[in-house]
Amino acid sequence: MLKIKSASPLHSIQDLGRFGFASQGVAQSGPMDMTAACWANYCIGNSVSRSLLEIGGGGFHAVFTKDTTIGIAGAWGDIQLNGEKLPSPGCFPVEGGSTLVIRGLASGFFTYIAVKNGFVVKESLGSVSTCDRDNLGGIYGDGSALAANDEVLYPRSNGLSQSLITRRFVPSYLAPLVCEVILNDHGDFDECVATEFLTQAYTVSKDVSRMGYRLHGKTLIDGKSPRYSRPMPLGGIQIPPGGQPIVLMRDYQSFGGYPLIGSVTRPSLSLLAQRVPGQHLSFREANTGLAISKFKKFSEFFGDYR
Amino acid sequence: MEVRLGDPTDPRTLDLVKCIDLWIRRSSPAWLYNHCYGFGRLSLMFDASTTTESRVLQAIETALKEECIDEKDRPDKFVKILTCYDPRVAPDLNVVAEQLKLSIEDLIAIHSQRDYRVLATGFVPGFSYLGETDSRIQLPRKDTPINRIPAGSVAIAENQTAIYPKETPGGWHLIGRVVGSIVSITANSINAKLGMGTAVRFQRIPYDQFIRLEGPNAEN
Repeated sequence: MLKIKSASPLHSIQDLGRFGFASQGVAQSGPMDMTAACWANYCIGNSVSRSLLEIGGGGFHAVFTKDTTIGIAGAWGDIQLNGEKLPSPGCFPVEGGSTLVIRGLASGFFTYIAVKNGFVVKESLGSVSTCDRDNLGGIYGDGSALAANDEVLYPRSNGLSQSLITRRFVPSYLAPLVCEVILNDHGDFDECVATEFLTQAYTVSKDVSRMGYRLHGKTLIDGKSPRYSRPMPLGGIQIPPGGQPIVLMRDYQSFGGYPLIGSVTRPSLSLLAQRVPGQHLSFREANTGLAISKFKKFSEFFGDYR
Repeated sequence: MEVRLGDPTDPRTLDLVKCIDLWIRRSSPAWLYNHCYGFGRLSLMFDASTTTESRVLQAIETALKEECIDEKDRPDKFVKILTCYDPRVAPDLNVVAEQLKLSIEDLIAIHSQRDYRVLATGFVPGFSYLGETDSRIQLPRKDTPINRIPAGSVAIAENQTAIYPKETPGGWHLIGRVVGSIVSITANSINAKLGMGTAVRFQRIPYDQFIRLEGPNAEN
Protein backbone atom coordinates (compact mmCIF):
# COMPACT_ATOMS: atom_id res chain seq x y z
CA MET A 1 0.00 0.00 0.00
CA LEU A 2 0.89 3.65 -0.16
CA LYS A 3 0.99 5.22 3.31
CA ILE A 4 0.30 8.92 3.21
CA LYS A 5 2.44 10.88 5.66
CA SER A 6 1.32 14.36 4.66
CA ALA A 7 -1.16 15.67 2.10
CA SER A 8 -3.35 18.69 1.35
CA PRO A 9 -7.00 19.13 0.26
CA LEU A 10 -5.85 19.32 -3.37
CA HIS A 11 -4.36 15.82 -3.29
CA SER A 12 -6.82 13.28 -4.61
CA ILE A 13 -7.45 10.03 -6.45
CA GLN A 14 -8.58 10.48 -10.05
CA ASP A 15 -9.26 8.38 -13.13
CA LEU A 16 -10.53 9.59 -16.51
CA GLY A 17 -13.71 10.80 -14.85
CA ARG A 18 -17.31 9.98 -14.01
CA PHE A 19 -19.26 9.67 -17.23
CA GLY A 20 -22.93 9.18 -18.03
CA PHE A 21 -24.42 11.09 -15.09
CA ALA A 22 -24.21 14.70 -16.26
CA SER A 23 -27.94 14.69 -17.01
CA GLN A 24 -28.46 14.03 -13.30
CA GLY A 25 -26.15 16.85 -12.31
CA VAL A 26 -23.10 14.79 -11.40
CA ALA A 27 -19.78 16.47 -12.12
CA GLN A 28 -17.52 14.66 -14.54
CA SER A 29 -14.33 15.20 -12.53
CA GLY A 30 -11.11 13.50 -13.67
CA PRO A 31 -7.60 14.93 -13.84
CA MET A 32 -7.27 18.70 -14.19
CA ASP A 33 -4.39 18.11 -16.60
CA MET A 34 -5.65 15.17 -18.66
CA THR A 35 -2.53 15.16 -20.83
CA ALA A 36 -0.06 14.83 -17.94
CA ALA A 37 -2.27 12.24 -16.22
CA CYS A 38 -2.32 10.15 -19.42
CA TRP A 39 1.48 10.42 -19.65
CA ALA A 40 1.92 9.22 -16.05
CA ASN A 41 0.00 6.02 -16.81
CA TYR A 42 1.28 5.62 -20.37
CA CYS A 43 4.96 5.80 -19.46
CA ILE A 44 4.70 2.75 -17.19
CA GLY A 45 2.67 0.76 -19.71
CA ASN A 46 -0.68 1.23 -17.93
CA SER A 47 -3.99 1.81 -19.63
CA VAL A 48 -4.71 5.54 -19.22
CA SER A 49 -7.97 4.61 -17.49
CA ARG A 50 -6.08 3.42 -14.38
CA SER A 51 -6.57 5.39 -11.17
CA LEU A 52 -3.75 7.66 -10.12
CA LEU A 53 -2.92 10.43 -7.68
CA GLU A 54 -3.37 14.09 -8.49
CA ILE A 55 -1.10 16.17 -6.25
CA GLY A 56 -1.93 19.88 -6.41
CA GLY A 57 0.63 22.37 -5.14
CA GLY A 58 3.22 19.91 -3.76
CA GLY A 59 3.53 19.33 -0.01
CA PHE A 60 3.15 15.58 -0.39
CA HIS A 61 4.96 12.83 1.49
CA ALA A 62 4.21 9.09 1.24
CA VAL A 63 5.80 5.67 1.71
CA PHE A 64 5.42 2.74 -0.70
CA THR A 65 5.25 -0.57 1.20
CA LYS A 66 5.52 -2.87 -1.86
CA ASP A 67 7.70 -3.02 -4.95
CA THR A 68 6.22 -1.31 -8.00
CA THR A 69 6.99 1.09 -10.84
CA ILE A 70 5.69 4.64 -10.71
CA GLY A 71 5.00 7.08 -13.53
CA ILE A 72 5.24 10.75 -12.63
CA ALA A 73 4.28 13.62 -14.90
CA GLY A 74 2.89 17.15 -14.80
CA ALA A 75 4.02 19.93 -12.46
CA TRP A 76 7.70 19.64 -11.61
CA GLY A 77 10.15 20.88 -9.00
CA ASP A 78 11.77 19.36 -5.95
CA ILE A 79 10.49 15.76 -6.22
CA GLN A 80 12.52 13.20 -4.29
CA LEU A 81 12.50 9.42 -4.22
CA ASN A 82 14.39 8.15 -1.16
CA GLY A 83 16.05 11.52 -0.82
CA GLU A 84 17.24 11.67 -4.42
CA LYS A 85 15.89 14.34 -6.68
CA LEU A 86 14.14 12.95 -9.77
CA PRO A 87 15.42 14.62 -12.96
CA SER A 88 12.20 14.98 -14.99
CA PRO A 89 8.85 13.25 -15.70
CA GLY A 90 9.06 9.52 -16.46
CA CYS A 91 9.03 5.99 -15.17
CA PHE A 92 10.89 5.01 -11.97
CA PRO A 93 11.26 1.65 -10.18
CA VAL A 94 10.29 1.74 -6.51
CA GLU A 95 11.21 -0.79 -3.82
CA GLY A 96 9.05 -1.53 -0.79
CA GLY A 97 9.87 1.01 1.93
CA SER A 98 10.65 3.84 -0.49
CA THR A 99 9.69 7.40 0.33
CA LEU A 100 8.35 9.88 -2.18
CA VAL A 101 8.32 13.57 -1.33
CA ILE A 102 7.04 16.46 -3.44
CA ARG A 103 8.21 19.72 -1.93
CA GLY A 104 8.14 22.98 -3.86
CA LEU A 105 7.20 23.19 -7.54
CA ALA A 106 9.08 25.23 -10.12
CA SER A 107 6.67 24.75 -13.02
CA GLY A 108 2.96 23.96 -12.97
CA PHE A 109 0.56 23.01 -10.18
CA PHE A 110 -0.70 19.42 -10.61
CA THR A 111 1.68 16.44 -10.44
CA TYR A 112 0.38 12.97 -11.36
CA ILE A 113 1.62 9.74 -9.79
CA ALA A 114 0.59 6.42 -11.31
CA VAL A 115 1.60 2.94 -10.08
CA LYS A 116 1.89 -0.18 -12.24
CA ASN A 117 -1.67 -1.53 -12.75
CA GLY A 118 -3.22 1.33 -10.79
CA PHE A 119 -4.40 1.87 -7.22
CA VAL A 120 -7.16 -0.37 -5.88
CA VAL A 121 -10.06 1.91 -5.03
CA LYS A 122 -13.81 1.18 -5.01
CA GLU A 123 -15.79 3.00 -7.69
CA SER A 124 -18.72 5.26 -6.97
CA LEU A 125 -21.01 5.83 -9.96
CA GLY A 126 -18.54 4.07 -12.25
CA SER A 127 -15.44 6.04 -11.30
CA VAL A 128 -12.97 6.54 -8.46
CA SER A 129 -12.46 10.22 -9.29
CA THR A 130 -12.67 12.33 -6.15
CA CYS A 131 -15.31 15.02 -6.28
CA ASP A 132 -15.61 17.14 -3.17
CA ARG A 133 -18.67 18.96 -4.51
CA ASP A 134 -20.68 15.78 -5.08
CA ASN A 135 -19.19 13.80 -2.16
CA LEU A 136 -18.21 11.01 -4.54
CA GLY A 137 -15.05 9.00 -5.17
CA GLY A 138 -11.71 8.78 -3.39
CA ILE A 139 -10.64 5.97 -1.08
CA TYR A 140 -13.67 6.37 1.19
CA GLY A 141 -16.14 6.92 -1.66
CA ASP A 142 -17.31 10.20 -0.11
CA GLY A 143 -15.25 12.71 -2.06
CA SER A 144 -12.71 13.38 0.65
CA ALA A 145 -9.19 14.31 -0.39
CA LEU A 146 -6.12 12.32 0.62
CA ALA A 147 -4.99 12.98 4.20
CA ALA A 148 -2.18 11.95 6.51
CA ASN A 149 -2.50 8.32 7.69
CA ASP A 150 -4.60 7.30 4.66
CA GLU A 151 -3.55 4.03 3.07
CA VAL A 152 -4.07 3.46 -0.64
CA LEU A 153 -3.80 -0.13 -1.87
CA TYR A 154 -1.92 -1.18 -4.99
CA PRO A 155 -0.73 -4.57 -6.31
CA ARG A 156 2.93 -5.60 -6.02
CA SER A 157 4.80 -5.51 -9.29
CA ASN A 158 8.43 -5.94 -10.36
CA GLY A 159 10.17 -2.64 -10.98
CA LEU A 160 10.71 -1.59 -14.60
CA SER A 161 13.93 0.24 -15.37
CA GLN A 162 14.01 4.00 -15.20
CA SER A 163 13.18 5.94 -18.36
CA LEU A 164 12.32 9.58 -18.89
CA ILE A 165 9.56 10.99 -21.08
CA THR A 166 11.03 12.47 -24.26
CA ARG A 167 11.78 16.14 -23.70
CA ARG A 168 9.55 17.47 -26.47
CA PHE A 169 6.50 15.93 -24.79
CA VAL A 170 7.21 17.69 -21.50
CA PRO A 171 5.75 21.20 -21.70
CA SER A 172 7.04 24.12 -19.67
CA TYR A 173 4.16 25.55 -17.71
CA LEU A 174 6.09 28.80 -17.28
CA ALA A 175 5.91 29.67 -20.98
CA PRO A 176 3.25 32.23 -22.04
CA LEU A 177 0.08 30.31 -22.86
CA VAL A 178 -2.11 30.79 -25.89
CA CYS A 179 -5.32 28.84 -25.31
CA GLU A 180 -7.10 27.55 -28.38
CA VAL A 181 -10.79 28.28 -28.21
CA ILE A 182 -13.77 27.24 -30.30
CA LEU A 183 -16.08 30.25 -30.32
CA ASN A 184 -19.72 29.82 -29.37
CA ASP A 185 -22.23 30.48 -32.15
CA HIS A 186 -25.30 31.07 -29.99
CA GLY A 187 -25.15 34.82 -30.38
CA ASP A 188 -24.44 35.66 -26.73
CA PHE A 189 -21.83 38.19 -27.85
CA ASP A 190 -21.37 40.80 -30.56
CA GLU A 191 -18.55 40.12 -32.98
CA CYS A 192 -16.51 43.07 -31.70
CA VAL A 193 -16.75 41.71 -28.16
CA ALA A 194 -15.37 38.38 -29.37
CA THR A 195 -12.50 40.26 -31.02
CA GLU A 196 -11.85 42.14 -27.79
CA PHE A 197 -11.75 38.81 -25.97
CA LEU A 198 -9.31 37.29 -28.48
CA THR A 199 -6.93 40.25 -28.53
CA GLN A 200 -6.50 41.07 -24.87
CA ALA A 201 -4.13 39.53 -22.32
CA TYR A 202 -5.53 37.73 -19.30
CA THR A 203 -4.09 36.85 -15.92
CA VAL A 204 -5.05 33.83 -13.85
CA SER A 205 -6.77 35.25 -10.74
CA LYS A 206 -6.55 33.87 -7.19
CA ASP A 207 -10.03 32.46 -7.62
CA VAL A 208 -9.17 29.05 -9.05
CA SER A 209 -10.60 25.66 -8.13
CA ARG A 210 -11.31 22.27 -9.66
CA MET A 211 -14.67 23.75 -10.78
CA GLY A 212 -13.34 26.75 -12.65
CA TYR A 213 -10.52 29.24 -13.19
CA ARG A 214 -11.51 32.87 -12.99
CA LEU A 215 -9.38 35.09 -15.20
CA HIS A 216 -8.69 38.78 -15.03
CA GLY A 217 -8.51 41.10 -18.06
CA LYS A 218 -8.20 44.89 -18.40
CA THR A 219 -11.29 45.35 -20.53
CA LEU A 220 -14.56 44.03 -19.18
CA ILE A 221 -16.70 42.24 -21.71
CA ASP A 222 -20.40 41.95 -21.69
CA GLY A 223 -22.75 39.41 -23.20
CA LYS A 224 -26.45 38.63 -23.29
CA SER A 225 -27.58 36.20 -20.60
CA PRO A 226 -29.84 33.52 -22.06
CA ARG A 227 -33.41 33.36 -20.69
CA TYR A 228 -32.85 29.75 -19.65
CA SER A 229 -29.85 28.08 -18.11
CA ARG A 230 -28.38 25.57 -20.51
CA PRO A 231 -25.97 22.66 -20.67
CA MET A 232 -22.37 23.78 -20.25
CA PRO A 233 -19.39 22.16 -21.95
CA LEU A 234 -16.11 21.23 -20.28
CA GLY A 235 -13.69 24.09 -20.97
CA GLY A 236 -16.60 26.49 -21.54
CA ILE A 237 -15.77 30.16 -20.98
CA GLN A 238 -18.56 31.91 -19.09
CA ILE A 239 -18.73 35.66 -18.73
CA PRO A 240 -20.80 36.63 -15.66
CA PRO A 241 -22.04 40.23 -15.22
CA GLY A 242 -18.71 41.30 -13.68
CA GLY A 243 -17.17 41.04 -17.17
CA GLN A 244 -14.31 38.69 -16.23
CA PRO A 245 -14.23 35.18 -17.72
CA ILE A 246 -14.47 31.87 -15.85
CA VAL A 247 -13.13 28.77 -17.61
CA LEU A 248 -14.99 25.62 -16.55
CA MET A 249 -12.62 22.94 -15.29
CA ARG A 250 -13.16 19.22 -14.55
CA ASP A 251 -15.57 19.57 -11.59
CA TYR A 252 -17.67 22.06 -13.59
CA GLN A 253 -21.43 22.32 -13.20
CA SER A 254 -23.39 20.75 -16.05
CA PHE A 255 -25.76 23.73 -16.28
CA GLY A 256 -25.15 27.43 -16.30
CA GLY A 257 -27.00 30.65 -16.92
CA TYR A 258 -24.23 33.10 -17.81
CA PRO A 259 -23.27 34.01 -21.39
CA LEU A 260 -20.84 31.57 -22.98
CA ILE A 261 -18.21 33.00 -25.34
CA GLY A 262 -16.60 29.71 -26.37
CA SER A 263 -14.82 26.57 -25.24
CA VAL A 264 -11.14 25.88 -24.66
CA THR A 265 -9.91 22.81 -26.58
CA ARG A 266 -8.89 19.78 -24.50
CA PRO A 267 -5.09 20.03 -24.96
CA SER A 268 -5.20 23.76 -24.12
CA LEU A 269 -7.38 23.08 -21.08
CA SER A 270 -4.69 20.76 -19.70
CA LEU A 271 -2.06 23.47 -20.14
CA LEU A 272 -4.33 26.08 -18.54
CA ALA A 273 -4.91 23.81 -15.50
CA GLN A 274 -1.17 24.00 -14.78
CA ARG A 275 -1.10 27.81 -14.64
CA VAL A 276 -1.03 29.44 -11.22
CA PRO A 277 -2.48 32.80 -10.09
CA GLY A 278 -0.60 35.70 -11.68
CA GLN A 279 0.46 33.86 -14.84
CA HIS A 280 -0.54 35.35 -18.20
CA LEU A 281 -2.48 33.86 -21.06
CA SER A 282 -4.40 34.82 -24.15
CA PHE A 283 -6.86 33.13 -26.47
CA ARG A 284 -6.72 32.23 -30.15
CA GLU A 285 -9.62 31.04 -32.28
CA ALA A 286 -9.13 27.38 -33.17
CA ASN A 287 -9.93 25.87 -36.52
CA THR A 288 -12.57 23.29 -35.54
CA GLY A 289 -11.36 20.70 -38.07
CA LEU A 290 -7.76 20.99 -36.90
CA ALA A 291 -8.83 20.90 -33.27
CA ILE A 292 -10.71 17.64 -33.89
CA SER A 293 -7.76 16.04 -35.69
CA LYS A 294 -5.45 17.09 -32.86
CA PHE A 295 -7.85 15.53 -30.36
CA LYS A 296 -7.88 12.34 -32.48
CA LYS A 297 -4.08 12.20 -32.36
CA PHE A 298 -4.09 12.39 -28.55
CA SER A 299 -6.85 9.82 -28.35
CA GLU A 300 -5.09 7.37 -30.69
CA PHE A 301 -1.71 7.82 -29.01
CA PHE A 302 -2.95 7.26 -25.45
CA GLY A 303 -5.74 4.82 -26.35
CA ASP A 304 -8.24 7.19 -24.73
CA TYR A 305 -8.32 10.91 -24.01
CA ARG A 306 -11.23 12.92 -22.77
CA MET B 1 -22.24 19.37 -29.50
CA GLU B 2 -25.67 20.75 -28.81
CA VAL B 3 -29.02 19.84 -30.36
CA ARG B 4 -32.03 22.11 -30.05
CA LEU B 5 -35.21 20.19 -29.37
CA GLY B 6 -37.77 22.99 -29.17
CA ASP B 7 -39.47 25.44 -26.83
CA PRO B 8 -38.35 24.77 -23.24
CA THR B 9 -41.86 24.90 -21.75
CA ASP B 10 -43.66 22.97 -24.50
CA PRO B 11 -44.75 19.50 -23.27
CA ARG B 12 -43.74 18.05 -26.65
CA THR B 13 -40.16 19.13 -25.96
CA LEU B 14 -40.24 17.23 -22.67
CA ASP B 15 -41.51 14.16 -24.55
CA LEU B 16 -38.52 14.36 -26.89
CA VAL B 17 -36.16 14.57 -23.94
CA LYS B 18 -37.76 11.55 -22.29
CA CYS B 19 -37.44 9.61 -25.57
CA ILE B 20 -33.78 10.43 -25.90
CA ASP B 21 -33.15 9.55 -22.27
CA LEU B 22 -34.82 6.18 -22.77
CA TRP B 23 -32.87 5.53 -25.94
CA ILE B 24 -29.56 6.35 -24.25
CA ARG B 25 -30.37 4.08 -21.30
CA ARG B 26 -31.42 1.24 -23.61
CA SER B 27 -28.61 1.38 -26.14
CA SER B 28 -25.80 3.14 -24.21
CA PRO B 29 -23.82 4.03 -27.35
CA ALA B 30 -20.06 3.50 -26.95
CA TRP B 31 -19.22 6.86 -28.54
CA LEU B 32 -21.26 8.78 -25.98
CA TYR B 33 -19.24 9.91 -22.95
CA ASN B 34 -21.76 12.15 -21.28
CA HIS B 35 -24.99 13.95 -21.97
CA CYS B 36 -27.09 16.61 -20.44
CA TYR B 37 -30.46 18.11 -21.35
CA GLY B 38 -32.97 20.67 -20.37
CA PHE B 39 -34.80 23.79 -21.55
CA GLY B 40 -35.13 22.38 -25.03
CA ARG B 41 -31.45 21.65 -25.48
CA LEU B 42 -29.57 18.39 -25.56
CA SER B 43 -25.85 18.50 -25.04
CA LEU B 44 -23.73 15.51 -26.05
CA MET B 45 -20.10 14.88 -25.26
CA PHE B 46 -19.01 12.28 -27.77
CA ASP B 47 -15.75 10.64 -28.72
CA ALA B 48 -14.57 12.72 -31.68
CA SER B 49 -11.96 10.08 -32.51
CA THR B 50 -14.59 7.46 -33.42
CA THR B 51 -17.58 9.40 -34.75
CA THR B 52 -18.60 12.75 -36.17
CA GLU B 53 -21.20 15.37 -35.36
CA SER B 54 -23.32 14.51 -38.38
CA ARG B 55 -23.37 10.79 -37.56
CA VAL B 56 -24.40 11.59 -33.98
CA LEU B 57 -27.21 13.79 -35.24
CA GLN B 58 -28.38 11.02 -37.55
CA ALA B 59 -28.44 8.50 -34.67
CA ILE B 60 -30.56 10.89 -32.58
CA GLU B 61 -33.00 11.47 -35.43
CA THR B 62 -33.39 7.75 -36.03
CA ALA B 63 -33.93 7.14 -32.32
CA LEU B 64 -36.63 9.81 -32.14
CA LYS B 65 -38.47 8.28 -35.10
CA GLU B 66 -38.27 4.63 -34.17
CA GLU B 67 -37.88 4.05 -30.48
CA CYS B 68 -39.92 6.46 -28.55
CA ILE B 69 -43.56 6.12 -29.41
CA ASP B 70 -44.58 4.34 -26.20
CA GLU B 71 -42.78 6.75 -23.88
CA LYS B 72 -44.98 9.68 -24.86
CA ASP B 73 -48.12 8.21 -23.35
CA ARG B 74 -46.68 7.46 -19.93
CA PRO B 75 -48.18 9.90 -17.41
CA ASP B 76 -45.80 12.09 -15.45
CA LYS B 77 -45.26 11.78 -11.72
CA PHE B 78 -46.94 14.32 -9.43
CA VAL B 79 -45.08 15.28 -6.26
CA LYS B 80 -46.20 17.45 -3.36
CA ILE B 81 -43.39 19.02 -1.38
CA LEU B 82 -43.87 20.34 2.15
CA THR B 83 -42.37 23.81 2.25
CA CYS B 84 -41.82 26.32 4.99
CA TYR B 85 -41.83 29.97 3.90
CA ASP B 86 -40.41 31.78 6.90
CA PRO B 87 -37.59 34.35 7.10
CA ARG B 88 -35.85 32.20 9.71
CA VAL B 89 -35.17 29.55 7.05
CA ALA B 90 -35.58 31.72 3.94
CA PRO B 91 -33.08 34.60 4.18
CA ASP B 92 -34.17 36.42 1.00
CA LEU B 93 -37.93 36.34 1.59
CA ASN B 94 -38.21 39.92 2.87
CA VAL B 95 -35.85 41.46 0.33
CA VAL B 96 -37.48 39.67 -2.60
CA ALA B 97 -40.98 40.72 -1.54
CA GLU B 98 -39.76 44.30 -1.29
CA GLN B 99 -38.03 44.13 -4.67
CA LEU B 100 -41.14 42.70 -6.33
CA LYS B 101 -43.40 45.21 -4.54
CA LEU B 102 -45.48 42.39 -3.07
CA SER B 103 -46.42 41.54 0.48
CA ILE B 104 -44.71 38.44 1.84
CA GLU B 105 -48.11 36.73 1.97
CA ASP B 106 -48.78 37.47 -1.70
CA LEU B 107 -45.33 36.28 -2.73
CA ILE B 108 -45.86 32.99 -0.88
CA ALA B 109 -49.36 32.56 -2.26
CA ILE B 110 -48.26 33.19 -5.84
CA HIS B 111 -45.34 30.79 -5.51
CA SER B 112 -47.26 27.95 -3.84
CA GLN B 113 -50.52 28.10 -5.81
CA ARG B 114 -49.12 26.97 -9.12
CA ASP B 115 -48.10 23.50 -10.32
CA TYR B 116 -44.67 23.42 -11.91
CA ARG B 117 -42.96 20.93 -14.20
CA VAL B 118 -39.32 19.90 -14.20
CA LEU B 119 -37.92 21.57 -17.32
CA ALA B 120 -34.32 20.55 -16.78
CA THR B 121 -32.13 18.59 -14.39
CA GLY B 122 -28.47 19.24 -13.75
CA PHE B 123 -26.13 21.69 -11.99
CA VAL B 124 -25.66 19.31 -9.01
CA PRO B 125 -27.20 15.87 -8.31
CA GLY B 126 -30.91 16.18 -7.61
CA PHE B 127 -31.20 19.79 -8.78
CA SER B 128 -34.11 20.42 -11.09
CA TYR B 129 -35.30 23.55 -12.77
CA LEU B 130 -39.06 24.05 -12.37
CA GLY B 131 -41.14 26.33 -14.50
CA GLU B 132 -42.69 28.55 -15.24
CA THR B 133 -43.21 30.89 -12.34
CA ASP B 134 -45.89 33.59 -12.37
CA SER B 135 -44.62 36.76 -14.05
CA ARG B 136 -45.26 38.72 -10.82
CA ILE B 137 -42.49 36.82 -9.00
CA GLN B 138 -39.86 36.84 -11.74
CA LEU B 139 -36.57 38.62 -11.04
CA PRO B 140 -32.96 38.27 -12.27
CA ARG B 141 -30.34 36.13 -10.51
CA LYS B 142 -28.12 37.80 -7.95
CA ASP B 143 -25.12 39.53 -9.53
CA THR B 144 -22.74 37.75 -7.19
CA PRO B 145 -23.51 34.18 -6.16
CA ILE B 146 -23.31 33.39 -2.44
CA ASN B 147 -21.05 30.60 -1.22
CA ARG B 148 -23.26 28.56 1.08
CA ILE B 149 -26.88 27.90 0.32
CA PRO B 150 -28.45 25.54 2.87
CA ALA B 151 -29.66 22.18 1.56
CA GLY B 152 -33.41 22.13 0.91
CA SER B 153 -33.65 25.83 0.09
CA VAL B 154 -36.43 26.81 -2.30
CA ALA B 155 -35.23 29.48 -4.67
CA ILE B 156 -36.48 31.64 -7.53
CA ALA B 157 -34.75 33.37 -10.44
CA GLU B 158 -35.99 34.53 -13.85
CA ASN B 159 -39.06 32.45 -14.74
CA GLN B 160 -37.95 29.43 -12.74
CA THR B 161 -37.96 27.98 -9.26
CA ALA B 162 -35.81 25.23 -7.77
CA ILE B 163 -34.81 23.33 -4.65
CA TYR B 164 -31.13 23.13 -3.66
CA PRO B 165 -30.56 19.43 -2.90
CA LYS B 166 -27.41 20.03 -0.87
CA GLU B 167 -25.30 22.89 0.40
CA THR B 168 -23.73 24.58 -2.65
CA PRO B 169 -22.87 28.04 -3.88
CA GLY B 170 -25.66 29.65 -5.88
CA GLY B 171 -27.10 32.87 -7.25
CA TRP B 172 -30.85 32.39 -6.80
CA HIS B 173 -33.11 34.07 -4.24
CA LEU B 174 -34.03 31.91 -1.25
CA ILE B 175 -37.71 32.11 -0.31
CA GLY B 176 -38.42 28.81 1.46
CA ARG B 177 -37.15 25.51 2.76
CA VAL B 178 -38.46 22.01 2.09
CA VAL B 179 -38.88 19.15 4.51
CA GLY B 180 -36.62 16.14 3.94
CA SER B 181 -34.06 15.34 1.30
CA ILE B 182 -34.83 15.34 -2.42
CA VAL B 183 -31.96 13.13 -3.54
CA SER B 184 -30.10 10.02 -2.39
CA ILE B 185 -26.90 8.72 -3.92
CA THR B 186 -25.51 5.20 -3.59
CA ALA B 187 -22.36 3.67 -5.10
CA ASN B 188 -24.31 2.63 -8.18
CA SER B 189 -27.18 5.03 -8.65
CA ILE B 190 -28.79 8.38 -7.99
CA ASN B 191 -32.38 8.57 -6.86
CA ALA B 192 -33.80 12.01 -7.35
CA LYS B 193 -37.35 12.78 -6.22
CA LEU B 194 -37.86 15.02 -9.25
CA GLY B 195 -37.08 13.86 -12.78
CA MET B 196 -37.64 15.43 -16.20
CA GLY B 197 -41.32 16.26 -16.61
CA THR B 198 -42.34 15.59 -12.99
CA ALA B 199 -45.15 17.86 -11.84
CA VAL B 200 -44.48 19.60 -8.55
CA ARG B 201 -46.56 21.54 -6.03
CA PHE B 202 -45.13 23.34 -3.03
CA GLN B 203 -47.41 22.76 -0.05
CA ARG B 204 -47.05 25.46 2.57
CA ILE B 205 -46.47 24.46 6.18
CA PRO B 206 -45.99 26.70 9.24
CA TYR B 207 -42.61 27.20 10.87
CA ASP B 208 -43.33 25.17 14.02
CA GLN B 209 -44.41 22.18 11.93
CA PHE B 210 -41.22 22.50 9.88
CA ILE B 211 -39.10 22.46 13.04
CA ARG B 212 -41.07 19.48 14.36
CA LEU B 213 -40.37 17.54 11.16
CA GLU B 214 -36.79 18.66 10.61
CA GLY B 215 -35.46 18.95 14.17
CA PRO B 216 -34.25 21.97 16.13
CA ASN B 217 -31.05 22.42 14.12
CA ALA B 218 -32.90 22.88 10.83
CA GLU B 219 -32.34 26.64 10.77
CA ASN B 220 -28.67 26.06 10.05
